[in-house]
Amino acid sequence: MKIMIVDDSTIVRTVIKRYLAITKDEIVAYAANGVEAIERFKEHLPDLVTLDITMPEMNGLEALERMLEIKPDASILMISALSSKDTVVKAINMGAAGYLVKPVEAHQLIDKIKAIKEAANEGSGFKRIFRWRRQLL
Amino acid sequence: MKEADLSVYSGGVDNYFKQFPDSKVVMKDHYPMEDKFVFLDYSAIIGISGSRKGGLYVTVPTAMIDDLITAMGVGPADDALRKDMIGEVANNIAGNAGEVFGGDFKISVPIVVTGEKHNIELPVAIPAMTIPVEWKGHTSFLVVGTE
Repeated sequence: MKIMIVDDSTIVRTVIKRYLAITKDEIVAYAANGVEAIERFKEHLPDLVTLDITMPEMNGLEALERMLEIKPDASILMISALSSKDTVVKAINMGAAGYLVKPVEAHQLIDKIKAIKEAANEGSGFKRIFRWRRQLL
Repeated sequence: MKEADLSVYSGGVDNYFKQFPDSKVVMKDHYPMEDKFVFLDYSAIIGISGSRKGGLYVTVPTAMIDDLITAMGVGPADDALRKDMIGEVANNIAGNAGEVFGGDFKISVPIVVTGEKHNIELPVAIPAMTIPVEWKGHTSFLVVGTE
């Protein structure tokens, strides 16, 4: 699976990269804000993106929307310190595949990615239909 | 600012430092911030909007931020990493408060400053509370002022 890591913190990007070494997925790109993330996303078309929300230039929710317009079947995992239910629900309704609240431990990230992979494999057809429908609304 | 609100932010500090189980964080009794803002070597300021307007900042000595960077397994520490680290600490504390305060609680990206002299103006009209935070023998401060 091709993964992109988006966070304005170098430290967080490094820690997520270290956690993901366990999954042996390929990290194809990094970005430090939403604008950069969209550019890298277009170049690499990753299968999964870990995406922060509070970032300069363009926040993660805007980036989420743009990424799913570009590749509707991409899995976007939000990883943010923002923990209000409203924000979590908004991200999921926008099409995020999951949401983790910072600080995130390795096992939480690994478990979530495993669940996202399983969901993607089992329900890819349904997921595509759901996202196409969402885009039409 | 209500006492209960302050405990939400101190809960955010606790939650952040839980990822380092070998070294416990201790928060001392809070007190009202007096005339002068305390700024140590590295500080990250976050603006808060919505129903609780105001802001918070975290200020730490270099030795503590270096220990935090080491604890994260990243390094060696330099000025850029220190700024990155303190910004992330403040972002976590402020962001986690949204779980209690709800969707109307909006935070800015952190502004990081170094040393005591800078041009950042804080809303002195809003009473602020200071919470001393001790970790690994270092003392830092969380200052919160919201309506």
